[in-house]
Amino acid sequence: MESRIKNLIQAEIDGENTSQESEELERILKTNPEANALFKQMLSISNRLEQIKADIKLPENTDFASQFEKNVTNAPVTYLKTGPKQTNEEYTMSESNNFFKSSTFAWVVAAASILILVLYISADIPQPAQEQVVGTIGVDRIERAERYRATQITSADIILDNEQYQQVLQSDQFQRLVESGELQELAQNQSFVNLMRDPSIQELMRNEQMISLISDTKLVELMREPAFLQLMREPSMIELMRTAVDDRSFTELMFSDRVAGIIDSPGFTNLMREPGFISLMRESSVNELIAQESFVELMRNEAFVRLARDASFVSLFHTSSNVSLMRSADIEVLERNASFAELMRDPAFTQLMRHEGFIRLMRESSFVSLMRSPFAVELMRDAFFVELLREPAFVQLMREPGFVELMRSSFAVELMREPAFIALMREPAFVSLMREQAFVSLMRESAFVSLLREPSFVSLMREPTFVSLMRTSSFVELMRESAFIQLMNSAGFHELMRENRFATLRSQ
Amino acid sequence: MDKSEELELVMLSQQGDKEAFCKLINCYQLPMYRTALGIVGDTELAKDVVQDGFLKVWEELNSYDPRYKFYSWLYKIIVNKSLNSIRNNNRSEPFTDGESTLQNPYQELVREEENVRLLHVLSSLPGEYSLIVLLRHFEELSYKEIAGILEIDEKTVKSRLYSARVKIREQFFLQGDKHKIS
Repeated sequence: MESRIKNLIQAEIDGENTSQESEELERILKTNPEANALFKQMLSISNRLEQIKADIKLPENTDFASQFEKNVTNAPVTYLKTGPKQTNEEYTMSESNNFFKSSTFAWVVAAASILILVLYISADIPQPAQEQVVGTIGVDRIERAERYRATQITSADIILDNEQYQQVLQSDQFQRLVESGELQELAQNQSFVNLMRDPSIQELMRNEQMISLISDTKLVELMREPAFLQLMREPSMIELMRTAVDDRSFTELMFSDRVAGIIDSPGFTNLMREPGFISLMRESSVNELIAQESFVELMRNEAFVRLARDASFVSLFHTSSNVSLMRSADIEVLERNASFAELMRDPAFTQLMRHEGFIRLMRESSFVSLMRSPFAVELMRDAFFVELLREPAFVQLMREPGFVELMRSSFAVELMREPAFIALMREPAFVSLMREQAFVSLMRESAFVSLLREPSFVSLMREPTFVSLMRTSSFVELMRESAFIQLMNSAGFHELMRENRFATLRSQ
Repeated sequence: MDKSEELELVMLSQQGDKEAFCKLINCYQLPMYRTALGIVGDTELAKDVVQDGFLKVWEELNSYDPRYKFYSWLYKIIVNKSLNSIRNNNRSEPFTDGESTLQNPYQELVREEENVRLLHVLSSLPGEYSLIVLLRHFEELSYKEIAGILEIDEKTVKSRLYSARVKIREQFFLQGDKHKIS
């Protein structure tokens, strides 16, 4: 057996196949009994292992948590305030230094910086400007040290209860941040000061989880952006931050370089004011999408932003298959197309986008390329056609390159709007005919297309004997002749064609 | 437990919150025990390994990198502890509980006869194969996660998993009753 088949079988059992790979395997399994047997038996093993897993329980009276508490309590512990590194050893200086080098420390520096700014601004403490002052910051006023000089920020006497912050404040790293002037610069930014005076923001900024996730440099950069400051004052944004603050991936994303890169885009800022979009931002799959550079780039596009403000479009993103579709580079190009963007606002189309068959189709480059054609976009607005796209047989047909090519022509699009033709397209026999290159080529003949508008001819096309006749190349050739087409236009001739003996005669 | 809740508990634990750490223990004790049991093949030894493992996790919490999944890190510690334990106890392979018998520690927990037979087949596989089957099927870890835990590349995980499945298939389906436990 080919190694590709083996790999497909294994990946299918482990749920690692893409939908295309699953379809490929499905086709293989239908025709390859050896592969089919291997797949079924491996699947059976997998299912049995699942049952076994469910049978395995912890032994009675097993309580690892209580045992753990007992072990740790009994050990001579000296904890570092920031972590449980020791269980039975004395705290050592070298480990303390490790903490100060750790990424956790960077967060704490950021946290302390923000907290100080918030307290500093919200307390409305008089600030001696333009002159060197000596400030003290401490856990206890008695312990205050004459440490920070020449900075406005340290002119305030701030009492912090959290000893961890205290460690930060007395560190060289924090001093460097203060001395760089960045914090002071922010504190002099009126927009930032106004923002920080907002009680909702103050409350938000005091959330330790949020503070710990903000990195100092990114925050400082973001806080300089008027658009970000404005955005942060939006009630919907504050609400979002409040509810999503515990979601690490979300907060990391919000303060990431990528988001910082689009924050100055008016479109994005407007989008963030939309309750529907804000709600969407809480979905982890959408978070992942936004973390992608190409998607962020897309969000700068005005047409896309307009689209993203539409509730029916936004609802699409609640489906994981759509989110994964949106990651496709082809779709990205399509989304920049204004007429397609317009289409995506159409409820009928967004409804279609929820259909698995259509999503599969959208993953095919040839179809995406078709969708760039104005004709196709026009067609997609048509309720009959949208209905047709839900038919598995038609979706299959849409994968045929010849048919996709045909669909680019205006006459095909017109035809597709005819209810009679749409009805015909639902007939499996006709769909199979459409796969024949000769017939597709015939469809390019305008005279033949006009025939397809005739209800009696359409009715004829439903006859298996006639469809079978249409498969013969000599008959297709005949259909190209205008005289024959004229003949075909007569209802009496259609009757004749329905007769079996005529079909037999023609095939001879 | 969702990811954000887990992260919060990890962070609280890093700050010395034992209660938070106990919540993490309660969440992960069964999968960790199941993994250890599969490797060391003895219920008491498995309990010791898990207990020591959690203690080690607590001690090493500050070295945990939150960019990676917490449970992957946990599995790694438990798997290493288990492998060290069988080395110290002069056992050469996961699952096998002595040379003469093909008893599997899960066996007494499993009810259906056919499943017992499957476990029996699993027991007969070399340790590097059975361990991957266990991490994939019992713990539902991805190829990537298994590769990270065992410190091997993903291709090796895939090929060993495939070989293990083929061996299981041969013994379970094709040799039929040969190994059936009476």
